[in-house]
Amino acid sequence: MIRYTTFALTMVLLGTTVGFAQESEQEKYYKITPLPIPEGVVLEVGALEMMPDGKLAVATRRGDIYMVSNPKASSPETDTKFTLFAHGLHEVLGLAYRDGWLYVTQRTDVSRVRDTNGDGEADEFEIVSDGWGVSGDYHEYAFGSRFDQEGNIWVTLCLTGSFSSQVPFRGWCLRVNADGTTVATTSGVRSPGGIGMNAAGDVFYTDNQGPWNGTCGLKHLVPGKFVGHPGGNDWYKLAPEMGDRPVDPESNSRFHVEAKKIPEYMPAAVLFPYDKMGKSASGVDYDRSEGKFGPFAGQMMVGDQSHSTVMRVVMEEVNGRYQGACIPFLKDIGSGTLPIWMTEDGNLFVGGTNRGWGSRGSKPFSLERINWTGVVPFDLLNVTANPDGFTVQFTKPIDAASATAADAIVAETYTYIYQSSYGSPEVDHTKPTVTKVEVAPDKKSLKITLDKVQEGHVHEIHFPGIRNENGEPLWHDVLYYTMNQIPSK
Amino acid sequence: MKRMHLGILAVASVLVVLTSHPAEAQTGPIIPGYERFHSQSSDAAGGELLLSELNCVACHAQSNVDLGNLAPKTAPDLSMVGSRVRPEYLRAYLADPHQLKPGATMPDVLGGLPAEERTEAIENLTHFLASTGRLQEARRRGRDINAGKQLYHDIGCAACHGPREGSPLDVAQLKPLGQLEAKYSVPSLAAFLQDPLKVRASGRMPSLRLTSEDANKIAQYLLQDLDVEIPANIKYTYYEGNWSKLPDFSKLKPADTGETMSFDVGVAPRKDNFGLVFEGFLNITQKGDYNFHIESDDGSRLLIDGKEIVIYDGIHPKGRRSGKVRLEPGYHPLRVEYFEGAGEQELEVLFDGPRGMRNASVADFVVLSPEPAEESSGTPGFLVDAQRAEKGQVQFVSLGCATCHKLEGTKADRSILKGPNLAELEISKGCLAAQPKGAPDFRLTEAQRKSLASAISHRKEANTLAWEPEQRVQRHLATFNCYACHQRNEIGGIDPQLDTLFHTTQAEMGDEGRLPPTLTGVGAKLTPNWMNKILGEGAKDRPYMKTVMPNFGHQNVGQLQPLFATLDTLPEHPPIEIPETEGRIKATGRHMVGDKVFGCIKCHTFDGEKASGVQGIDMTLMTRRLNHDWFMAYVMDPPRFRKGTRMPTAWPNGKSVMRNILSGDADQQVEAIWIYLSDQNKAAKPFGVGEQPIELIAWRKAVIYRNFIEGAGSRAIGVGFPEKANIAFDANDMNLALIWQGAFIDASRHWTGRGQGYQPPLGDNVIRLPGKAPFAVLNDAAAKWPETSGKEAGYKFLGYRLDEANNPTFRYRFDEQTIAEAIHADKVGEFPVLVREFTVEGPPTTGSFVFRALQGGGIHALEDGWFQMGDGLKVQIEGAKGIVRPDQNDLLIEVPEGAGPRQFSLKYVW
Repeated sequence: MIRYTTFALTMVLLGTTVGFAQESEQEKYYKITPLPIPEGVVLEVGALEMMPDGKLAVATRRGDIYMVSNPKASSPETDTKFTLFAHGLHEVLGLAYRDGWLYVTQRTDVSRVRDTNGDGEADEFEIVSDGWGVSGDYHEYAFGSRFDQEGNIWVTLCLTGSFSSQVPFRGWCLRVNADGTTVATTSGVRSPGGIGMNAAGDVFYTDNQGPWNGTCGLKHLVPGKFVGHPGGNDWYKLAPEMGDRPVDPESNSRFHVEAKKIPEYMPAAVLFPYDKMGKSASGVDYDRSEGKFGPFAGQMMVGDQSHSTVMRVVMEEVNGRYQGACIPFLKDIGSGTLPIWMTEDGNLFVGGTNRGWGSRGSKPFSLERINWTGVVPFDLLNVTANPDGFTVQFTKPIDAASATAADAIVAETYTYIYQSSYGSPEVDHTKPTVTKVEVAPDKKSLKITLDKVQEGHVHEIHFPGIRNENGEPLWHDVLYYTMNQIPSK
Repeated sequence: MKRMHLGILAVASVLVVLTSHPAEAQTGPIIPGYERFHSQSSDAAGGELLLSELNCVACHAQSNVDLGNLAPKTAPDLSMVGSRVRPEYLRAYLADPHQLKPGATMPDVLGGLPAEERTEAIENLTHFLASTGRLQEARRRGRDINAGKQLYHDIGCAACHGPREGSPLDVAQLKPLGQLEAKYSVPSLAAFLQDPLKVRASGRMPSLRLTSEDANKIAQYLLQDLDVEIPANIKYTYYEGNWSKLPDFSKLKPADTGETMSFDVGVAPRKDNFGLVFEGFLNITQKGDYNFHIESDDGSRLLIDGKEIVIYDGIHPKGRRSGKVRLEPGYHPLRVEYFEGAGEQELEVLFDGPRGMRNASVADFVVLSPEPAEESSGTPGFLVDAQRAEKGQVQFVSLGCATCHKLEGTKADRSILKGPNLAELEISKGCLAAQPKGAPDFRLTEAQRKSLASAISHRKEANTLAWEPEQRVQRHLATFNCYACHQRNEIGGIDPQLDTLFHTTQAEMGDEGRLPPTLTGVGAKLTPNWMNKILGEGAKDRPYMKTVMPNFGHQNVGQLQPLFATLDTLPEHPPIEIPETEGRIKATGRHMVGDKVFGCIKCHTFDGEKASGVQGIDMTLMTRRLNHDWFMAYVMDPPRFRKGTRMPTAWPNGKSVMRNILSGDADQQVEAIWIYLSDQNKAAKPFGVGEQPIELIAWRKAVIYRNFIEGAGSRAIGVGFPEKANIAFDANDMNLALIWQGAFIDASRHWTGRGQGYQPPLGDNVIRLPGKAPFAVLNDAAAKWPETSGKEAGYKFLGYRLDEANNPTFRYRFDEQTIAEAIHADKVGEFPVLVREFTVEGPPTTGSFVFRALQGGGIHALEDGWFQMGDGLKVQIEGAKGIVRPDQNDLLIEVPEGAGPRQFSLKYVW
């Protein structure tokens, strides 16, 4: 206990000093470039999409869509222009381009919009699907994905007031096909903050801390499944394709315990420990740049609105289900991170707003582009679970001696209560002992053996002692792995 | 008990110190109106004022002539005076009213008695009066004293009583407060200040509408030199637990014990789930029936002599239960049990008893121990001597106190102190003698005696006439000292030495922000209702003014209303005709009031919403407060009615500066504002009021707003056209729900914060079009319109297209019919019209395929395809036949038959 306290204290001190160092350190690897929002334009960004002509479509919570020309320009102040493409939409939180139409997911519907007379302004607004209810509660947001391989837009519908379901399909994910077919897909949604896909084309959304969500998480949307909040489950009666309504989870339980009892229930693939990683998980995307955005190709990126950050998420499949870890990544987004979008050539666009929900980023709204400087940071690259611990990869070779020193690696585990009341503290803490650390011959990975791995727990692993061959510490030295299942091998 | 005496001792010493000063020069009774207007002239009018203010008519009947005098100032009601005034003060005051209260209007009526008898009578009366109640003390609180000082000098106390800070002013009409520390305790003065009319019904001391909190602060300030020690007199035992009924406390283990001053549930360290037992001895001096009340939240009960008197058990909000018991003089063990579950916690224990005692606080009569007090200091505290009190009660009547003072349980003997009729008085005898012997001694000054003599002589004249109406007004204003704050017809107003005591919250308003308004012409200005309201309740209509218009009691000053109304008149304004519909008139009025035209709301609050500049009187009160004709005249020329006002006129020399509104006709413009304001707090908010709006304005092209729009649902699509016509389409019910004119919408509700709730149109003349599904196939021409909404009826919304000017064409499908409605606005004269063009495509229907254009009463056909609802909305149908169905209160349009697209259109004028 005394040792732990000392450690915590050290971490705080370390955190302070490293904090200063990191500010300049982020700039070494990644450059944030604000795009010049014209004066008088309130650009509370809700969704982003690249258009075939190279413009960036930016939709806002006020219901506007702007076309931003030359969004990748090296001097956006002079070369980037904003033009209003459409207005009068209802809180747009999804954009997807296809075949001459811009598909818009807004509060009331999925519409498709186009400019038929070539004057640069949309003049045709067609409803693709309005197959859900809107009761008049501000919380009833609708987030829309891009098209999946079958041509569907996935729409997650926030609960009424973020806790109940007054009208059909609040608290659900629906799939909307371009032909208007709307299919109930996944139940158990609470309050989404973003939706996107991984490199394999699987669809994920973020859900936020609240009832039945002890902390924010990234959840995999699978047709026929239930992702945790039973508040909208009355609508199984309108969704015969979903089968019978699953048994309601037992309050005051644990995610992995209920997952074993309820076959439809899929807990979050990755939990974002509250306050440690953020408070309000938002936009979802992955690094499709194949190296143009640094060493993290193919990994997922998730925003946090409250902390104004972009986190990294690495996942693996264990027994056919995704699970994995979140790792701190980019901070200092101008406002509260909402949508994020990575282009194939390695431009990460980040939209921000903090209206109604505060953010560390102090601007009321922001639109920024983030690019890699070409300098590879010394950082955690990946983590995978083993039956008795983890294998951790690094972006650069490490100093083997630093890894095996006492207290170079410190682990702790905990989980959250799965309950009907709001949120949860961290519970069931354990402190596994690192029994063995093996450095791979290329010195770019470590195998860590723990005395005990905890099923259903977040494994918070710090690497305060790890150094590279130049004696430098990691850019980020912590990861949080959500061990829904312990792999058998 | 002993400590209580010490407390009283402290008071007594204050009294000694204060009275050791030489008495001020004999001023005689101070009546502000007399001092200010009559003391120099000694005229009959001044004498008449004294006759009413000294209540001469209590002993001297008015016989020959009724001058139309005000009801005289009656003496204070002395019921329960023992709970308000210290016995020591009563004793000293009876001995010499002017000693402790210079300027007192009470005469010395005991002066004629032999010295010994007089001392005896004073003692008996003091014991009697003291026996009617018991004074409650409170601690001195420095913070309240400072706040009270501010209030005293701000709200208007000082207008009559003068400032209490700085060097004294030489202003004759200021009414001295006397030695308040000697007279009152903080709770008793606060109770008096909160409702002075209860004790002094004649309203010379009006109610300043104080909250109990503010009354207490002023009392703390006025009694800041009072230093009383408040000893504990009740023992308490504290328990913790969770009960739904009173537990058996004897079986519980106390968590704490202590002593307290009252049945104070605040001694509990927690707010919920606790119990308290209070114990002490009830000191009863009067044998008789007592009725005890407990008021508690939650349960409580009261035991006296071990016997339950009243119980109010269980969990409940504060409520009263009562129980009676007959008690002998002496000390009675008293026990109050109480418990609190959750929520509010309150406990009060009150009782009624002999001699008119009502709702007295039982705690004031409880002592820790029944042992008699030690009288070690030799200065006794005040113990009521029952024998003396009984004698005093008799003497209260026989010595004439009851002739002027009410006191519950006593009855005046009208023969006592009865003097000759006013018209028969000899002007140098009795009370009027230079040294009255055997008659009440008012300490009248020479001038006052002369004034009274003039009045009496005047009454003796044969041709004495009643007061003229304006004289009666003047008598009111002098009697109630209205002149201290107001002037009327160049009379009265604030004394220059007191001018600095009038403050405003908005210095930039200048004098009109701090000085109470003139009463010249006030009868023409205020409506009878509002005048009566002010006279009966007081007022605080001017947010910028620190003084309060006090409540003098309608029974006292209510006559002013008809007097003002008769005296103050304006020439009647000829009727103003505005050739527009009511909706448009109100829209125009609202427009003018807003910040885009005259900007009235920049300096006037509107339904409680602050103005951006100074905070003038609320506009939504205007048509309640003001007479129509006065409003018309005032706004044209404000300084004519209110000198030095900052209020500008928009109609200099009766001509409007806005020529494009209502043809620039000034009368019509003002009338339109009046009609608009007649909706009072239901009037639509003018532009520029409240939080910064985000007004969406159509410029060249229409502007679209999709959000929650009040009256058009959660899937509303609002469109504002540059012509200033607006629509809201309900994409859930699939109908055009609302049309309106003027401003489109304020997006601030949805675009700031999280955006909860529905936003109504920002403009005017909002018309709700028929709800539910717009089209139906009716098999019977007389059938009732289906009750289903568009969505329920299977309508599918297809979206909308915008033309070059953003005019929308809404598209939806119903059965096999695809409907497109293109909507645009045109401007005809000052007001826009809307045109709605329908194109229906689909196979022929079996049955009558109809559209519902109007729904409501009074629909009738005009010429050329026009239809109208009452005298409001007009619709012209082109390309189809309209059918009025009076039994269904609707107007249907038959969709034309034929192959290919079928078209018809509607034009809306309103």
